[in-house]
Amino acid sequence: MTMACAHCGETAASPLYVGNDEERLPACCPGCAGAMALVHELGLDNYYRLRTSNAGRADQSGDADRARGLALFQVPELLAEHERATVDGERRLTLSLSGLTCAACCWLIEKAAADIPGVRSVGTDLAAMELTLVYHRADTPAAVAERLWRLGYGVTLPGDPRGRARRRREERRLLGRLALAGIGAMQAMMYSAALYIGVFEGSERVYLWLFRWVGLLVATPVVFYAGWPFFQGAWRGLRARRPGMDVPVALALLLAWAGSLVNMALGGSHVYFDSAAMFVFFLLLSRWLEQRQRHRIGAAWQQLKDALPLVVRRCHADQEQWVASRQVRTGDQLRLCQGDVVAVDAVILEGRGQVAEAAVTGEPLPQPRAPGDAIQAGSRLVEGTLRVQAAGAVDDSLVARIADQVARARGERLPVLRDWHRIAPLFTVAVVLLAAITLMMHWTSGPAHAFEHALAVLVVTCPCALALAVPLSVSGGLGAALRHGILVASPSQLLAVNGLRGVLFDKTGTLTSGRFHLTGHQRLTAIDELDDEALLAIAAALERHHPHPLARAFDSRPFDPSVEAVEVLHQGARGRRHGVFWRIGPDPAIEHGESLFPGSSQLLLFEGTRPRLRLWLRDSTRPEALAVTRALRLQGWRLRLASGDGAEPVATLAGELKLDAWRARQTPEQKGLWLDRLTAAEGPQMMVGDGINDAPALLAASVSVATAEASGLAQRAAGLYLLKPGLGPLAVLPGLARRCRRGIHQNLAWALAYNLLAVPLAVAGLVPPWAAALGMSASSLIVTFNASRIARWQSSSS
Amino acid sequence: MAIIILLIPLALIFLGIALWALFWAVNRGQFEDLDHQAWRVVFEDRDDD
Repeated sequence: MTMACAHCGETAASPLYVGNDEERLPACCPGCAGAMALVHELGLDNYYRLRTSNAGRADQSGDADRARGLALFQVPELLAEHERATVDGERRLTLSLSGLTCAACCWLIEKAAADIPGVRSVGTDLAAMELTLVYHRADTPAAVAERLWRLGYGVTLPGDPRGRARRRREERRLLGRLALAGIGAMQAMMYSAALYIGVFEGSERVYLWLFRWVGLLVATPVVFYAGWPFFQGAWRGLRARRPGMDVPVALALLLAWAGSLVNMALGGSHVYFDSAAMFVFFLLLSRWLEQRQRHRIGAAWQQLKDALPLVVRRCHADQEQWVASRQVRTGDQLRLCQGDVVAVDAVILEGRGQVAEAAVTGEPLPQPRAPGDAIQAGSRLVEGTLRVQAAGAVDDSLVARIADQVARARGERLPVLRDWHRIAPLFTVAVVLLAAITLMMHWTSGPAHAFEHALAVLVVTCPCALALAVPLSVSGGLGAALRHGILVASPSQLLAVNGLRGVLFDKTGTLTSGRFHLTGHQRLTAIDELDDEALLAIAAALERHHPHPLARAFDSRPFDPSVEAVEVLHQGARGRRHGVFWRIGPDPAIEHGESLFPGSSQLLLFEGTRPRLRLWLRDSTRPEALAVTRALRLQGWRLRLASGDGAEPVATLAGELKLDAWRARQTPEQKGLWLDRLTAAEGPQMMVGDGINDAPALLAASVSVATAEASGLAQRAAGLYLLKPGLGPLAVLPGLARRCRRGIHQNLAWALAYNLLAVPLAVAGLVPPWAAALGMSASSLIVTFNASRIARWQSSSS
Repeated sequence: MAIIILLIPLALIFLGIALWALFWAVNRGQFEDLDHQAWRVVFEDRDDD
């Protein structure tokens, strides 16, 4: 009977039951069953009533998986780097969590960890996916990690703890400044409003004085504490002889504040404390928005870098010990168990195994490796046990170098932004000159008046709106893209989507999922007591726990419960059913290619030594591929397919998806060349790929997209990449790019029109400073608001 | 009108208290996880049944 797992909600083909006599709940796998039993044992059943989304599948029950997941808690020096002593002599540790799906998970984790010996307090942060633990016993973190593991959550150490702490400090400081500026600006505005309206005309001067003094009191911290980043930036710019946009900002702030003070002392007519405070508030608001965006993208990048394991099993004179991967030196001997990811480039000394290099080369099927073969960091040992010798340190591996290059590529700036940074100094000088001219022009009507007009020029031309127009719109676009599952590494590529003429797809891992399904089977013996379904159920029972990708085709199929003592062989698996051995594995006699189902892999099921059933398995086309290609064709783009695979499967897929052209057996260079030729003939092209073999084409394309499961090199080469498995987000890309471009045009047009209109009026002395501050604020606010509309953009199709 | 002489300093004192509370909250990370904390009170309530 098929039903939904009560823990993770996935279909349980052959459910296990958990619970007491009153209530028996189905679970899809031992992991989920264990998690449910533990939740019940801890008396936390409320979790299932309170949660708003299903838990992730707790399929981590194997002893080897658990040992690997918890191994880093066996290495004290790794933990020590992340621990901080609290004032009470206890220790505080922040851990990264995975598998959190809703706020109920936080509740469950906090409750489950709270009664572990040594725990003083537990706090979780859903947004940052973090757990903060305060404890006083050395073995506490390992115990907490073990319990969370059993509940189905992954626990690891956060990467780059110092960078994270610095970001958090920056965020808090800016938020504090923003809040102070907001509250202070409103207060200052309130007191000034009374002055502007003229409530005090005719009444006693003492009230006028009171309001001015209060305005000074409120605005001073806003200008000098909240506005400190602008003074700092201006000073840094001047010292480096590259005055940026902070210079006119700081000048205007200083003039408005000092000028008001002088006016108060000399008995002048106006004070501008409110204008200065408002100015600071709006500038900080845009800066805060930008910082949040940057940090969120930074967090997504961080996950990429954490692909290599933190700990390895090092062998030393017959002794084996978990050590930090960073301590591995060339020549060290390491042991790899089934499921391990290799931390360093290495050479096999002993043992045989199947190694999946999907992360490095994009090849979906694991390859057999024997002593003397090299394996690359980032590959996973699917089956077998190996003893290897490190060929270098962690930082020498290809994957680590890619991670580094990715980090460096983050510094790349938008071309539009680069242009602005070149113009900024000229603009600054022009504005200051203009203010000086205004001051001289109006000098004859008295210094106080002239000063007022010069200030109006400075405030009115504040380049905020113009400077913010492009970056804010782009950052809004990046936010919208992130919500739709696209991480934008190169913002200029997001804008380049608007000019595309065609798309080139890779096949394996891009249009297909890399996950196998059964395409057909054939009986090899006459009809007997076992029908086809019974034979398939035996195959499913044998393959159920096999780590090979081909075995995943059987995951959702019913299996025969009478098959016992299943063991994983070097190629395939074997088990006993009613005293008879059954085995499944590749058929060594049959060459690939001459089969009933072209492009499919074959497996044979044996009863004893007698072959009983032949099975064909094929990489499945992604379910959303048809809808996505249709949506992209509607843009008038031509869609093509380039694959390293043979002609037959490539042609079949191209026909299924009605693609315009296809090429099979393409080397990486050929893919890149074809893309170059298409660009020359038709115009800008987009490349969508996942493997190392797509990298040349990704680099050659105007817009390059890497899928979520793409290899590190493909992701580095790509400008955009998808965060969730599947192609779904590609369909929203054209609409998002158009929206982003429209937002930029609107913002630039508005900012330019505003400046062209306001500057002559201000130079002529027709704009009082308060009106200038209002206009400047309004123009920045409109630009910010318009950009936030882009960030809220929703695809009409989703 | 004379009451204003008293009321405005009073308002400033409240402003100071509000700002102090705000900074206290920001420095304790109260604005960092807005999704989870909002649910917390719901969970604790049901816990007592």
